Amino acid sequence: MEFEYEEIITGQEISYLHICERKLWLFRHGIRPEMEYGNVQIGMLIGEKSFSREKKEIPLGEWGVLDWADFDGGIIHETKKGRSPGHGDRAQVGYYLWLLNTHGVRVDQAQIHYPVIRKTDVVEWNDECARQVENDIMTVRDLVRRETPPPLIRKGICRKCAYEEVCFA
Amino acid sequence: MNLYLTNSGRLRRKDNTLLFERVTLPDETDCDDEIESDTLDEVTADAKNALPVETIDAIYIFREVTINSKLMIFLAQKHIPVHFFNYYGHHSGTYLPHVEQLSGDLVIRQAAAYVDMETRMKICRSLLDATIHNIHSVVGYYARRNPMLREVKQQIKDYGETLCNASNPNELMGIEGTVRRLYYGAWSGWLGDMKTNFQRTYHPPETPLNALVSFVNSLLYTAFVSELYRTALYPGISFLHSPQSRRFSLALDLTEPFKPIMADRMIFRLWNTHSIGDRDFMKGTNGFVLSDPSRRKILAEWDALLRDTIYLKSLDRSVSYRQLLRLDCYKLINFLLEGRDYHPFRMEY
Repeated sequence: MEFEYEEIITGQEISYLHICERKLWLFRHGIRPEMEYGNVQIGMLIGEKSFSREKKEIPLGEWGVLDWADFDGGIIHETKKGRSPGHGDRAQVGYYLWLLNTHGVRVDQAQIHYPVIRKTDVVEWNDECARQVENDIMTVRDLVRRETPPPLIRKGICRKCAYEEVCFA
Repeated sequence: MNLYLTNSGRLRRKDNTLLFERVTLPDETDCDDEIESDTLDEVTADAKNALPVETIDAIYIFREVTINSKLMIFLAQKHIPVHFFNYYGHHSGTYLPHVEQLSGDLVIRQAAAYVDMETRMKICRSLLDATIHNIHSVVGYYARRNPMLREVKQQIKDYGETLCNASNPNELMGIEGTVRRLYYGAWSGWLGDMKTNFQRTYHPPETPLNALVSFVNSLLYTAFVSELYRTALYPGISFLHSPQSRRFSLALDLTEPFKPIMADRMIFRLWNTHSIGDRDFMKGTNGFVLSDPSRRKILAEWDALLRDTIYLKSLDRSVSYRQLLRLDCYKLINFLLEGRDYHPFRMEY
């Protein structure tokens, strides 16, 4: 498949779709305050510290990066800093499963690790997963084509979001 | 956190952090003498300080400091701008690394907003409305103790209300100019030592107070340059000031509402408490030179002001003055992206 730059959707963006459409739109349009944001920097650090024994990050082309993987066992792993399973996490790993399986890499399962609460969530690769991902991709494409960002809605998660100041300045 | 280098010396990258080697140079008696760089590079340092680079937002250099490419590349990696000031405390330039956030879409909207006179006027009016409001607030603060100021306070308010009638940027600037003249004229109403009305002069400043105003304004300007750098806005496209006026002309625009409430109020405080006065300035050929201890005093005050916090209703929490600058950048972004009403920061006293 040939992808133009605009066509490539990353795992992070699929995750944003399920967290907040406005966040996704802003991110796609180059507004990225994450780099400054304390919570994001901590998240990057946890990723580095928790699974340092295993083979480190596996880049998936332009689409994203896997935290680590066990290809022989057909499992990919993702580490998340949060205290509760995030809305976008399952969608993000589902996307990675879709990318790998549709490119001929057999992966059956994705495990999302939450070291802070010591829990693991499992996403299976199946038809339902594939359908959800294809739906997500279309939704993302339509959303970012809009002229103006999705309207502002204050939610509980805004307090912890790197974009809070951008949205509510 | 900003790093202010008020001593001469050498700034280097050491492993993954910064090293500043302080080198005391012979006192400059005449600012036009160039200090030989050989001296700076060879002389043993008086002191060496390692500086944690992760906590630094921007670096300010006020004296002669040698740098090298290894350092600059490192600073660029860490996204740290460097602001250079000359002997007279005049901002001579800023080294800005590659952009952090690239939004071609936003830049195009900035340009489109400039080209469309109606949109441009909307932005300019919002900026000047807030600026005049803030000037009015400052005068109002002092008018409470000095009733003689009430008249000029009212005049400022009346002129502010004519902004909506202006039909082009020149008319707006005319109104702003009038308000500023009234404002400067009122300074003698609270700056105790003044015998005559304050006259604003620059290039070069004609009195030490003017030199102080120019210096603090450039601290505010560079603070905005640093904040703009952390957003996706292109600092070269401005609305109020002509985009050709400077490389970061948008920073000039955005500082206007903050000059009265941040820069000027700090100056009044320093001047009225005799913390800084005429005695701290030396007359040079091209302006006034601040003594080192007074420069450090001003920088310490300024830095403390940047970190000072106030409660913001829209976010329902406290923010620092520095964050206020960033938030005003975001307000402009929201205006350009979705037409949200643009209201730069207003202060009430």
